[in-house]
Amino acid sequence: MMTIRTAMAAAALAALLTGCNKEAKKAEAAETAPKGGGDLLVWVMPNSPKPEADINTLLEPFKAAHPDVNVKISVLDWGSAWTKLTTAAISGDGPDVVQLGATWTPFITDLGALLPLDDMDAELHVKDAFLPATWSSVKPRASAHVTSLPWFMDVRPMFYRTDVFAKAKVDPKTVDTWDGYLAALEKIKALGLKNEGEPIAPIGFPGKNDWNVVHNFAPWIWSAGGDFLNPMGDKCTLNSPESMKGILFYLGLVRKGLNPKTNMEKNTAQVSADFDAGRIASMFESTIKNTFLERPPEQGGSAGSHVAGNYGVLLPPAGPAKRSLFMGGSYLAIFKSSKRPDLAKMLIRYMTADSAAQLNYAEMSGFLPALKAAFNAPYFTADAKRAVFKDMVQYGRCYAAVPYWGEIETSILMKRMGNLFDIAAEVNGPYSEAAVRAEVDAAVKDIDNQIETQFKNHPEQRTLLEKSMAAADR
Amino acid sequence: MKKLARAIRRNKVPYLFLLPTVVGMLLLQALPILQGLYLGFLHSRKEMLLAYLSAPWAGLDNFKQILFNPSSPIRSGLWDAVRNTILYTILVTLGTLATGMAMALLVNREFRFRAAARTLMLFPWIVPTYVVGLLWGFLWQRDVGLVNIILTDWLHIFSTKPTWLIGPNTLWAIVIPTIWRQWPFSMLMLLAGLQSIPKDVYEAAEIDGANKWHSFWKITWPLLKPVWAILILHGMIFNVYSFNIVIMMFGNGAGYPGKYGDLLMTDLFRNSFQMWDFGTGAAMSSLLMLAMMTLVFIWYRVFRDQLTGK
Repeated sequence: MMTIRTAMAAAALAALLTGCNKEAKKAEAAETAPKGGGDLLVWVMPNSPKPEADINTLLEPFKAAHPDVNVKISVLDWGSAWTKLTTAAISGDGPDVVQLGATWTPFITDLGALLPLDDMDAELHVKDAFLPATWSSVKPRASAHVTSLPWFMDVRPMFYRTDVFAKAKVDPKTVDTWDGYLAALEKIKALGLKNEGEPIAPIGFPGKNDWNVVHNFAPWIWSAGGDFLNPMGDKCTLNSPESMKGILFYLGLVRKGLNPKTNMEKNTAQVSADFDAGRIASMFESTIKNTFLERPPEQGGSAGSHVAGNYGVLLPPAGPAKRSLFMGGSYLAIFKSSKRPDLAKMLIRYMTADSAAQLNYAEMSGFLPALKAAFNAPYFTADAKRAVFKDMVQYGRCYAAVPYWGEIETSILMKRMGNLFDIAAEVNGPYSEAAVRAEVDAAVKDIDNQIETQFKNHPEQRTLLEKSMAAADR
Repeated sequence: MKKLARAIRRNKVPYLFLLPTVVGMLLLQALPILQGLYLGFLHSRKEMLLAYLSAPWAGLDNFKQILFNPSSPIRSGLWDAVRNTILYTILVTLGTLATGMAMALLVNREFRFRAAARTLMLFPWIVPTYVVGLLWGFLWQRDVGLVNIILTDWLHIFSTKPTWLIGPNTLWAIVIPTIWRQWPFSMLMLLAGLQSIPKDVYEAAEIDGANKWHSFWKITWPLLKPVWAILILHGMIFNVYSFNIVIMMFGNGAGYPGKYGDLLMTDLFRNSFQMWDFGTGAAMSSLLMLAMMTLVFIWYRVFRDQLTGK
């Protein structure tokens, strides 16, 4: 009872302080606002169940503080967003503010379409105020300027069935290293539990028909001490012993029968649906999965289901070298063509650097805030599952922010890593490590050729990367 | 030239009516084709997109990269795509014609509700190709897909459920939905052809003692040859340029259709829009267009007599 009272008192105090804080911020924003209003066109992607309505809700305090600013939201479908953004970047006829995927910022920056935000960096101290992993996308390696600010982040914790783990006598705390993780999965497999007559798979990883192929490989490669590119970003290191260790471990989950071969033809949504239906005991999924499991069915969630009442969340296991996890997310940038750059800066300052706005959008979307301060809210500290998300962000990592990463990821790695799943599933003949190595070597050759072509066309990029390396060393 | 000018003067009104079509074709077809051909001779990459046709001149470099440089990024998986496209085009064209012919013969007979049956049979043809790709992506699922449930659980054709969306079976996973989508068009064309054959020809043959089989081979088959010719040409062009079904079936554009499912168009898409190498992409398209023109020329030589009525 005492705890409830204390919590209520704390909540009331927090509400009062937040209210005061909001009022103070409104007054402050009104004072610092540029004179005169105007229209601001904002392009975002569907990040939450009601994309446009949710953004409008998010922007209510901003609109109240700036009644002269008319923010027009345009929601782009993820599938077409890339084409629309690049077309806008090239033609110079785009919106004022854009949402960019983490791996898109170096490319769009390289096109010279984004307004430098160095003044905002100086004001907000981006490197210290936001999660460390975001910095590489905020200021891409071959860029002299900060060109975007982090908006929200996407990490993939391990979702597991508490009832299945209990039956298999697996202590979740032991799933902290690769060895502990394997032992847990083997125990679940040995138990032979069934769901509607079909065995419950210990783990579900999607296969090659998915946007996440490379993201799913990344944590294993990084945690084994490997990487996709060398620190300079001019050579592929995917066939280094460390990277190979990560790749083989990940494929080993299929080879050992812990991740069913049938998952190799499924995408994330299908595997996620399998988890909801009780067909798999664990999976790595974005934090939005948690929101889905917590939401009532009338709001599109699955609260009340058997799985929703029997799941937990764990930090993905640490590898032999370290714990390093993939962190995606989205950034906000301003097109150089914006006619109201001052208003646009005010808007992205609110969306990225306002702790309450960051928290509000995290609650709506299920993704994580990019602003460190937002993690101090009870929303993260008082909930066991979200506390894991908070822990995860310190291990988060993004891909090398080089302008050619997009081509490497979407064209070469998607294909070659997709082929690795074919090898693991033995669709072209018996599995062998030699076949895996040959495919990885082919990927390395393709990537090195691509980088070489890039440098042939842009010799200045190599110089910029060298400068960036030297600056990092200092 | 003088003759043409004289002909135009004499037939001013008909030529005036033709003018919008000619202008439309020039603007919407000829100009883009010429631009595409020109782009193949330029270093048109992401950083030069704004320059468009003013990108640096590449000469034959893009073509050399495709044809003679095995380590060029564009060559990765290209021959798999070429092989798959040839097999896919042959299998789909033949499958579509055979199914279309069988169904056309069936609905050409008198039976109750024939009109309704004919209309219903057009259903696959009205489903958009990207929906077909998505739909069959679910049907081919190994564990829960309807195809395996029918083949393995109900009909017991296979002892274990085969995997369709990865490995060599991928080719069938793209061929069969395309046949399913296209056969109604063949049926429609062949049905029109069948109905244009006068009934007295069959009656005369019957009086002469011809059975159904003889009537088919000696009357139906030769008289339908012009329709076959058109359908073969249509199938050849349509299937070589096939894209939607494959791209949607494998991760809605995200995934790689694999060594046995990747087609020239999906390969070209990756190189042009994911590698941002429009010059090489355009060069590859030009080579493909050249190959298709050769094929059309061969097609015309083979079917010239049927088409000209000689």
